[in-house]
Amino acid sequence: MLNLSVIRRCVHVAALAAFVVSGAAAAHPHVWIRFSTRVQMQGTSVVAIAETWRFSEGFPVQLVGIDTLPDNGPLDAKQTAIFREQAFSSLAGTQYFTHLFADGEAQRLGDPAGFRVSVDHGKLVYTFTLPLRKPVDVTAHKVSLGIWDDLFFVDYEPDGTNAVTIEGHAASRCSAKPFQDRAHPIFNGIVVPQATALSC
Amino acid sequence: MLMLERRLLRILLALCVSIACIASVASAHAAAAAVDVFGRPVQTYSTSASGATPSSAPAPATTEATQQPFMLPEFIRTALATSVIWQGRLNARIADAAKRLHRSSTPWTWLTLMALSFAYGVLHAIGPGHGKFVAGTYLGSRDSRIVQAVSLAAWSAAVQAMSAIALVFGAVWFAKEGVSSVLSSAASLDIASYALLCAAGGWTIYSTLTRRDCCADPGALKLVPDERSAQSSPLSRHEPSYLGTRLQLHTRQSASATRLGRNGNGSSAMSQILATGFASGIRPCVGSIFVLIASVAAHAPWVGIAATFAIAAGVALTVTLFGLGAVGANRYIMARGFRLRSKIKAAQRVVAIAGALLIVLFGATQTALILTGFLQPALT
Repeated sequence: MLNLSVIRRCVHVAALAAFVVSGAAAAHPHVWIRFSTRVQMQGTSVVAIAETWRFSEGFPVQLVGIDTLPDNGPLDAKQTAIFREQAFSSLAGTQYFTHLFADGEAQRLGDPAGFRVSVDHGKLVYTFTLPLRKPVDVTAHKVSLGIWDDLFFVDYEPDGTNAVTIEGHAASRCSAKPFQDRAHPIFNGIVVPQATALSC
Repeated sequence: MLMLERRLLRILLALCVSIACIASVASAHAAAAAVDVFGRPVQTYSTSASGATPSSAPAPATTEATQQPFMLPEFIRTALATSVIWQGRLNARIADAAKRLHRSSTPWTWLTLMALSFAYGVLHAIGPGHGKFVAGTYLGSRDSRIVQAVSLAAWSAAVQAMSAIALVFGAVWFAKEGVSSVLSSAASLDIASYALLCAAGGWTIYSTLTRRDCCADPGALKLVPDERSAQSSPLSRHEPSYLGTRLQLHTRQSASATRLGRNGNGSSAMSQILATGFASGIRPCVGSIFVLIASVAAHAPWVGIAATFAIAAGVALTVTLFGLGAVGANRYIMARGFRLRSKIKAAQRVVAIAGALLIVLFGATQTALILTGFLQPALT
């Protein structure tokens, strides 16, 4: 009944399945953030991306090492530095979850500028700007912008219908149009992030 | 057959030795179980205190590199995406409810907190995770009972809740870093969970091979009753028997004897469920950790504890439904075709061993990948 070939077959099938499932045993999001983005343009080129992240109330700031926050308004320099060190700098390797593609090629972003933390109606809010290493001409490339965590520890949702806007000295014909970025599914193909196509 | 089963035991032993070797060799290169406040593994190039260092960060991937060929059907993705959004909303509302409860403790605010936490737990367990994989594999690979599915899910969720409580309160009372280190500690339990899954799966294989549970062996003809069973259930003088063996007139055992396992082997099945549930539940749920931290900070720890158990109840419900699906699938296959039934019954033990082996291999694979640095310990 239990012959050697059956045992071998069992081991092979189980090993294969274990490897397949190893990839599927993924994490769930623990932090929920609503984002809005202002694309800074010069003519038809994207030069920087200004972002606002609004955390949900469920995020315990005590994890960062801060016991209490003001009810409203900006945090002082000391608390902002703590947030930067504990809950912002670690995202540098992910480019702060900001994905800017030109013809499918991911663009490198520079150091974040103007990082500020505030509390708005009990919600933690980050604001910062990511300059592009090299401006991207929207007329010469197919450009898209999205904010998502590839590992899906953090869930990003657009803050309202006009979460991505164009600012700066942009050409009047430039526009931002949201779409489902099927080229970059995350969470083992379960989630298709929302991105914005930039065109002029 | 005895020789072949010995061979399988040798394979299991070799697997355990391999895991131990990998663990000892790779421990020097093991990835530290450090995670940031988002629960993401901390990467060495991103720990600069002075700020971002994109120059040392890896180049972003191109479309081709990140493109995944596999994508779930639209309706499943929509359902899961909706559940994720609702989890976020519930997570925020739980924090609100906990604050309100601290200010004014009324039955209504308690009920609100419990309901929100329960719903969060239900939704949180919908996504992929090793708990459902383990429960589904264990229950689906053997002739399990409904009560076993419920027990496994409930025990696993209870362990998860107690693990979160122990971690948070341990950090608050004993850790120098306070709660800042809680997520890293929780991530460390990830590897412990996988290693324990190997042990639990190994125990299941051992007890199945030694016929302590699981499967009736249709090929085995018992002329002399098992000494252990004869001692545990002495025959009544009035009960029909032949050569000390109970005749098949009373095919229904008492409800208490069959509640947890068939053929009077409930204690063995129970030990497997306890081991498997403990192993899969020892890594805590981050949602519970967040609620506990917030409640401790608000000087209302009992609120966090209550919410944690409500989340666990929700997780248990989802995992139970998943486990029942596995039990149903097993029963459906077992019920197919009278002519095939004897063959299926004969394969039952092989399938049960394969299921347990899958759990061992899953735990071993994850352990090896984490220890060799190919995979980071993660939180769910």
